[in-house]
Amino acid sequence: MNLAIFVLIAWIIITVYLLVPKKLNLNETILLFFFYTIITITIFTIIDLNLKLIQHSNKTESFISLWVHRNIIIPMSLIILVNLILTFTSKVKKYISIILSFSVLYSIDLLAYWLGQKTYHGSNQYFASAILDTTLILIAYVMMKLVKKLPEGEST
Amino acid sequence: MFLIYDQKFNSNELFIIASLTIGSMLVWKLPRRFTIKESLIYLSFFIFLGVVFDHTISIEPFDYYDVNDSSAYQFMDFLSYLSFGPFGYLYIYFYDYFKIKNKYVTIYIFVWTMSALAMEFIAQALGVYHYKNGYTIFYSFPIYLFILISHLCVYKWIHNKN
Repeated sequence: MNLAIFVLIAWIIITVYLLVPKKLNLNETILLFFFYTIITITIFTIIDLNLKLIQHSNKTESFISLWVHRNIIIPMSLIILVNLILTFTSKVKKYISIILSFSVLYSIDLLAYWLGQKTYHGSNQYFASAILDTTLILIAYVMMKLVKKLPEGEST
Repeated sequence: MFLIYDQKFNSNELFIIASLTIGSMLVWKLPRRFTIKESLIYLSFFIFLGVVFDHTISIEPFDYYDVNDSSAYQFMDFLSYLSFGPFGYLYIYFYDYFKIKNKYVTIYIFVWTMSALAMEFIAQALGVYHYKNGYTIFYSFPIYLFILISHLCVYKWIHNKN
């Protein structure tokens, strides 16, 4: 069931991506998807293997759902968020999309704990998840700004 | 299981730094063929798939190998992923430069797969990779084939869209 739930969430996220207006072109989207995935995996691995704070389950099904969560759900959610930020001109709408994305990421994170995909070994699981998701959103925003600043033409 | 292989700055670190430096210099010195964003995609694709594969099969429940001095994730591990970047870039660069015809694509991919395996063999001999749980270099063959085919698909997709 664990895997089915996460595959369904990934499917919904991809559907939402297809529906939202896209302000990033193909090259920017691919580039940001690569960056977001690399960063998410790196952060998850450091927290898991080095800090042993949030450890993933060794059951194959749970691990595959973590894989879907880490490699598809989080990067695609961040891609949707930066597209929304670029689409909206009003600051209120931008903040609403950030809060909405945070809520989605946070809820999926809590669901992952609840389904035993990963376990927390610190003092406050809810706070740790909030910090992790906020960090990912901040990095996503900074990376988007950097990629948007890159020139479109031939490299020199 | 957490393992420590060595704690010194030696052959594995030198190999990573040397391959990253030589690769980056080649990328920098070669005449430009793509836009900056395209170049960054071709550079980051191998890093992306390298990180995805490594952080899938080198951790539990699979745990088929460790990278560098210990089972923990270290800065040198990250540099080793960065060193994949120029390899992927050069693969696409020469494909584009020599305008490889479709009938030679399989040979081209095979040659690069063998080069990747040769690099992995050297890296493993120098202590960058430590195979575990029955993993051997032969299992990397289909992985490289998959990565190189995907890389070419991404190149063709971007090229056709642009």
